[in-house]
Amino acid sequence: MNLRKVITAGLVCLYLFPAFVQAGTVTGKALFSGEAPPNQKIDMAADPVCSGMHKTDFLNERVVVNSNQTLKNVFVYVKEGLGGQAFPAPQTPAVLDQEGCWYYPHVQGMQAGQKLQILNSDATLHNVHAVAKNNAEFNLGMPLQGMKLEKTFSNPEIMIKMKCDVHPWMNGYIGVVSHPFYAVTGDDGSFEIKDLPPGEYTIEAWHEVYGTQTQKIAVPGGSVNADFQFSSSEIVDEASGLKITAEAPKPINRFDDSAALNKPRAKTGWWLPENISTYGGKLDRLFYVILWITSIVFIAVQVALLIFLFKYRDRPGAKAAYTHGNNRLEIIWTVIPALILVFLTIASQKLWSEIKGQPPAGAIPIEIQAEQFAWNVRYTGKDGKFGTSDDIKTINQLHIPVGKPVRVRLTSIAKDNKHPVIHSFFLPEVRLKQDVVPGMAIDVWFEATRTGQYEIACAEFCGLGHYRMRGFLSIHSQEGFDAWLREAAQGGIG
Amino acid sequence: MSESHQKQSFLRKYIFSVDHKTIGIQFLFTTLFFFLVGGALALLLRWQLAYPGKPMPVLGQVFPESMMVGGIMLPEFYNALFTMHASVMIFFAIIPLLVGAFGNFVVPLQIGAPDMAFPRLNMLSYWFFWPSAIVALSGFFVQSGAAATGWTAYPPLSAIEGTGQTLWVVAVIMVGASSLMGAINYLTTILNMRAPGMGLFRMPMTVWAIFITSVITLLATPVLTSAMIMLLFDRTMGTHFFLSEGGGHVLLWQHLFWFYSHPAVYIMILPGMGIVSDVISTFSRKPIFGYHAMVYAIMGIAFLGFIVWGHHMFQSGMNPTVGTTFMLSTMLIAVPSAIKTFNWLGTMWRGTLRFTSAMLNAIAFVSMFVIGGLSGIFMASTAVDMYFHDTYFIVGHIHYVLFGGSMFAAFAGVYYWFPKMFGRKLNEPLGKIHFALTFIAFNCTFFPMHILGIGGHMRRIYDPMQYTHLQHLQPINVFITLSAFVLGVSQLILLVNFVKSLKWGEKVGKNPWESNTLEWQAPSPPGHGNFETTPTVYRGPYEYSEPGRSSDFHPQSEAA
Repeated sequence: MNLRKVITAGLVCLYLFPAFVQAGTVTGKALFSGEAPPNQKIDMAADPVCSGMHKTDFLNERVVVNSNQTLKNVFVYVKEGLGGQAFPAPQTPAVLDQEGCWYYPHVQGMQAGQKLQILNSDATLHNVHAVAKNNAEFNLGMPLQGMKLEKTFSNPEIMIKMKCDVHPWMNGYIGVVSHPFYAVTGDDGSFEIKDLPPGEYTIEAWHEVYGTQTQKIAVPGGSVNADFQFSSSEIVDEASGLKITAEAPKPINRFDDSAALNKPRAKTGWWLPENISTYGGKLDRLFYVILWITSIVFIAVQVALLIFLFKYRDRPGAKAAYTHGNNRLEIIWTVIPALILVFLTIASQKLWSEIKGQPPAGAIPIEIQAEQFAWNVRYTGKDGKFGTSDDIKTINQLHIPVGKPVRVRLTSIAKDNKHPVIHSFFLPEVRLKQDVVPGMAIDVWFEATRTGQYEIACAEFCGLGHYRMRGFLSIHSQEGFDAWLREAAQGGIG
Repeated sequence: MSESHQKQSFLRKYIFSVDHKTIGIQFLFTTLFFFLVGGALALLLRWQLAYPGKPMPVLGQVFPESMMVGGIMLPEFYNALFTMHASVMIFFAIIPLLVGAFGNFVVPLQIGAPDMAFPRLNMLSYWFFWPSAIVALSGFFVQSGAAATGWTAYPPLSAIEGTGQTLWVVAVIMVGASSLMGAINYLTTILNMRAPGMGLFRMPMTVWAIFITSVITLLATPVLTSAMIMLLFDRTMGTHFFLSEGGGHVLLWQHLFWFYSHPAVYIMILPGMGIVSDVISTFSRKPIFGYHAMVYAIMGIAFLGFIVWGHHMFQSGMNPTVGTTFMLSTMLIAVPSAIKTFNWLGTMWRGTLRFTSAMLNAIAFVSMFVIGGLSGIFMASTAVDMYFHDTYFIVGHIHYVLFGGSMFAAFAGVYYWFPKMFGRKLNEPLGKIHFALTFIAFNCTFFPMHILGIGGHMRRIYDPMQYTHLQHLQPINVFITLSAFVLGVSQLILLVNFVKSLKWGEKVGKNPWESNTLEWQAPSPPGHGNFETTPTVYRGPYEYSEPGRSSDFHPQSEAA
């Protein structure tokens, strides 16, 4: 043991000791007056992994008013008064967990230079995006359950917004300060900042909706109280893109269409999936015609090649024929393929114009707005018009009736000031694929021939979350679809 | 030819060389290196597809946190991998290998010229080429990662993604400039510097192929470059050529891009067809069957190649009636391809086939190109394409054309001209092992991709297990990945053979294959200026097994 180190350590302790004996504590509450916003239910249908983890409605933590009329998730910290004192960053990391498609804790504080450990406890992709100004921004995919990342913010910043680029409803806030004097209010709305050296301080309380408040206080040593009063009349408006359902769902008599929806799917192995549309069968037939023709040509050519390789291999004494070609043969093997190919063109054209032509009369109009990385589905509601208040909206859930044509109008949209990008609307079992192009509204139509549940895939690469831009096609019985529309119109649909 | 007598410094002779042969060999070394790089990128992404979310053994620990965490690949890295795999293979391996390496080395020799028409331009073309690859690959070292929007770089996505995309755009502009310099040079050389007696219809098929390819390059590349510059402006200067918000049109990019990139497929296959024609005729000891038909077929492909680009856009939102037009032209382009295939078969028919490594690879080209051609017919049909577009069926198709076609042709070319380049043969037994393993592993890797596509498996997805309808296909993905690793490892045999034979390969004379074309009348390797005396050409390039002659070949420059 090095003697000099022991002495130095002892001297440091002696120097710090008086500071601790005289240290003060600031306690207080974040009081709240006025009406809290109604139930803020989050709709996680865009990712079935997320919605599947919540048996009951999941409520947003943006505004949590405790039973004692205080606010939860208020970040309170010493803003001024510590001068230039430096405080070493703690060795234990702060932890941000992604669980149930939400950030825990929703609001927390940490010290500049302290490690932040980011966990993914979900079996789905999260993309943790730190929206920082004074610190390096980062934007990292965490595709796997149990994944951990470690990051450090080296500069103080109030507040760094954390968001998930895959799940638009996910956000959280981290207050990064240069010292250990901060706290976050909990279920009783109270906070406590301990071990504060005596002095005059400015203390700030921050809330993501109701803004900031500051107080000047003198800390003598011992305890001092500082309450903050927030009010519902003062709101910091932040365009958030969150989906908030204003009212709690009403009880509804549900129609049971599960027999139709759960009709077992045909097993097809490593081949074309079952066809479920009126024109899919014709497309499959054309596929088989081409498969037959190409297979015959393929086998003929390869067999001829193999025979030649064997028969005309170089042997002692063998001499090759001397010929420069044969014009009649050239004409034959030009004209025959040309005729076959023109035949295929004509055969394809007939089906192509059926699929791409006018949708049949009476097709149900549906609009799908594709965004990174979800399908926003809209129905007209009772008035038969889009863009009115009775429109029915879902995310990633396309419900249609069996045996009736539907016309889907595809557009591409973007949120958060991003640019819309190209997607492709792919229903494998319907045999339908259509790119969704920014600046264009493209109509497609199809008619399902059986009930059941199938998938919607994005087939055009659209960015980080492309591979999981997955939707669901539910083909109901006519009665089931009517009932679904009724429920949806009453707001009972997630 | 006064330069040939001066003693050149090492730097002038091997680095800043203006000799077409040295430049060709520089292209060869560089492109084979990028072929290995591109292959390595493919193997990385194949791991993720076979074992999504499983940590990559050993190698996984080497990558930084922005690419893999605990050996587990991140989606942003996967997206960069498939983008850069295609970009490296297309722009920095296949095109410059076939056109830059073989075109440079072979064309002046086969037409009896001392060098290219513009030697310094030729050198500049190489010095634009390899730095462009470095610029594109440097994307892996910037914060946003390398370009990750696919090699097709469709805006708006490519207009809004990170810095790596800008590097990619700049690189493509540079490599395009390199291609253009090459094209101008080949056209001028072939038109003006043919030896006496070398009429256009006495030119070997390789020269014809490079000639037509250069025409395509000259007409198509400027369109790509313009599109890239517009994209660069959209990214850096706030223009809206391809962004609908500012009045631009998203589909404009696709039209411009495919106006180049579909002909680019022929840029990648025509030189291969030329090489294979030379190799097959030589080792069948027979004149090429239907020489004129072969030439006209190349011209037909080149012409039709310019009016089929829309078949990439059947499902893009382009007017479906326009789709019909493109369907017809696309169906018709299969005709000249069929003509070529039948003529290769005709050449082998009643020949005496010598199964050298070069010949085996050329035969594989014919066999595999048939599959690549036939599988294209499915997508040529607008209606059937609706299902197959953007699935693994396309991935399988393109690899049958570009690996089964272009790469087997390139291998054939390497085995065939290596003796001319270095005065030594590649080791034949090693060559045959390389061929056999490559041929089997290639088919095991790419054929099952058609089955995936028939099953509805989308391309460019990081984790197929996300979709219920794809989960039962996963064993195929595992099989493909295992085959791909065998395919990758097999290429090391070529690498070993190549390096070993440079020093210890069997020494050869002027004409080890008993071939007719002019390059085999020059020393191996040819000195500066190529020929001791300018050759005179008396006949076509494929006069093999002429009746009444004692030897079964008759070089083009032999007077009688």
